[in-house]
Amino acid sequence: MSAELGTSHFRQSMTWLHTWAGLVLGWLLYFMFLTGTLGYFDDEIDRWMQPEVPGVKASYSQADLTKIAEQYLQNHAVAASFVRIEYPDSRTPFLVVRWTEPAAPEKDGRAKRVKRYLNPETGEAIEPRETAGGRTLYRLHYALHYMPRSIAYLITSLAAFFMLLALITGIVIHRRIFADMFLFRPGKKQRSWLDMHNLMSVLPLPFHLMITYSGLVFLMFTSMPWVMTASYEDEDDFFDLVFSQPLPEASGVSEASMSFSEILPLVEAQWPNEPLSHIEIRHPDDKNAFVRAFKSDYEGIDGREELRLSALTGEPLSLAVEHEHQQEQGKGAINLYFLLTNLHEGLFANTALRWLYFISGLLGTGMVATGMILWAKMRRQKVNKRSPASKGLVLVEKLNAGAIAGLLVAIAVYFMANRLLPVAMDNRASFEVDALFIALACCLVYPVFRSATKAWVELLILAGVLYSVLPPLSWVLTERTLLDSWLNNDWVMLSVDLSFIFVGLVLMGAALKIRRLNAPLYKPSDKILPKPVIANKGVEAASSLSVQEGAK
Amino acid sequence: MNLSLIFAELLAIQGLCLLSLIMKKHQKLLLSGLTETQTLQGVLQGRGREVTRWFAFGLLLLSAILFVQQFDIGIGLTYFLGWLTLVGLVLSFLISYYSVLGLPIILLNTLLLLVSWVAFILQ
Repeated sequence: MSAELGTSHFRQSMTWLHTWAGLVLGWLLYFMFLTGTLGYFDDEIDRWMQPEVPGVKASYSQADLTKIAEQYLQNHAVAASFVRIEYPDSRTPFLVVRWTEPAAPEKDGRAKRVKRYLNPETGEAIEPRETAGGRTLYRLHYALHYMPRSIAYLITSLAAFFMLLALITGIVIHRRIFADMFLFRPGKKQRSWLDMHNLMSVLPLPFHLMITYSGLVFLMFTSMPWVMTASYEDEDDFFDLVFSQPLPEASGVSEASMSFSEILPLVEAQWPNEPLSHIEIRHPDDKNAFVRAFKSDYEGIDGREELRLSALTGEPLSLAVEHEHQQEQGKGAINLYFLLTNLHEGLFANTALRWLYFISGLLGTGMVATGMILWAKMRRQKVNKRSPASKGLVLVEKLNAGAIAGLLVAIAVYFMANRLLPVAMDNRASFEVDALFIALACCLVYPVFRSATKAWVELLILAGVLYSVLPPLSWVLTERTLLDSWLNNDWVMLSVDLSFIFVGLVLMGAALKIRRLNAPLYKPSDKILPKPVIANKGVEAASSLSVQEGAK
Repeated sequence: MNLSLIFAELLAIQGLCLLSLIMKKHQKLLLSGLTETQTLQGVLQGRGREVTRWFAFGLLLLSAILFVQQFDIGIGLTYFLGWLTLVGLVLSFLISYYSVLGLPIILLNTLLLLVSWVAFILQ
């Protein structure tokens, strides 16, 4: 009996912890989940936000592209200490060159990194619009904005910790976790919200646990620095040991190195029929110059396979020293660190797996959102004349509308800013992010002037309209239509545009559903039936019932 | 077309469909208008239910092995779990909104499994 009581008390404690751990940083967790989920398609979003960059046609071979890029580098990357050619792939169908200009005292002694998109038709660089792109949207989920990184890391670590706590307590309090796995009862108000919350939590539970725990591991050097300081006098020693690669340094002795065009056949001989992701020369025209080439496809979840050659002779260089270094580092914990962080980032994922990551991320976002809504619904149900709604409940309801629907509006505004801001504007990328946060702030304030339900409906309609308008707006401002994307086999642009339309329609549908569910059964002014004349309780009750039924 | 991968995906669907069928709560909540003998659950009482459950888990295990064989253990398991999430979600909505008992899906899926198996053999 006492054991049962103890279990019940334990479960109650866990329920309390689950409720409050989820609520306290829930809005931040929602922000992190949604922006992080969009990050799985950061390259695709980047592509959409820079429509000027043309996709490379499949008719160009790797050798053709190498010649085009090499020609450009010879003219522009003189005296570079590092040059790289990035080949197009399905996610980023561009030819890109990068190089590092030598450190100059007038530039604070820092080496300048340069990136250029090339048009293979002309061999010239393209100047796309400056944009914060998908990469910034992705960075928001861990580095936030308008604050030093170290503080942002601490805040996001804390949120991830609360998330882990909410997940574990959620597992404890959910007694029939497997029996209820497929259970969803629509049209049952609060019960439906609970089912939806459980469905979004339980089905992708391995993903939620992995993403939360690996997120904590990712930021552990900021949130738990004592692990390093306990064993290493200087933090840099630790980072050098764990993350640095023992690459050869420049000797300072000049010696002519091979060109990319000469090196490429040697790489292709080692890896026949394997498309490359990129190829680079470090310390060109130095005695220690070497080439690194990487396969396009990932090998497992660890990373891309690398081939290293001498840039002077083209002979393969051994990676044994580096492997020994990695093995030295990687006895245990650090291997686990890289495993978890690779799983978190999902860079290894092909298109299908990337979509599964994306869907799981959306379910995580939905889990947080439904949890927050459920918190308010459960308390709203107990509200009556004797115990009216507390200020806390009203605040949470309004914040839910402002933050959950508001972030959807804000992200749409971010995309819209990309199309509407003048292309030649200074600090354009920064203004795009500002637009996102200004929109979010407005959405957070908006429910102050409206009831929570109305705010939900109006913000969702606004978000829906904004997303639906994006493709036509893009057509008007960039002269790119859905048909163009279809005819040019530009699947990335096409799928992003279609996704916007789909999301827009879903959000508008959700808004209409909320409006319908929350519509009053009848208005006080409606005269459905005349008031009964006969003062008979039974008849009065019957006619009152028929009024309600008629209104339904 | 990677038939082995398709086969693994179909096996996972079949496993989840069978698991969803033998859950008591579905019968109680969603199938209350039907007599016991009209449902597969009604037919699969006691030992039959246990056998179905382990058969379903067997299918899921086989599916996981095929996923791992296709990629490697890391990517294979990630893919498998992601696929289960997606199928589970779709299945939940289908069961909840249409009360399809899972049977039409199972029959269709069995047909697809057979077709993919034959294609795999012929290949």
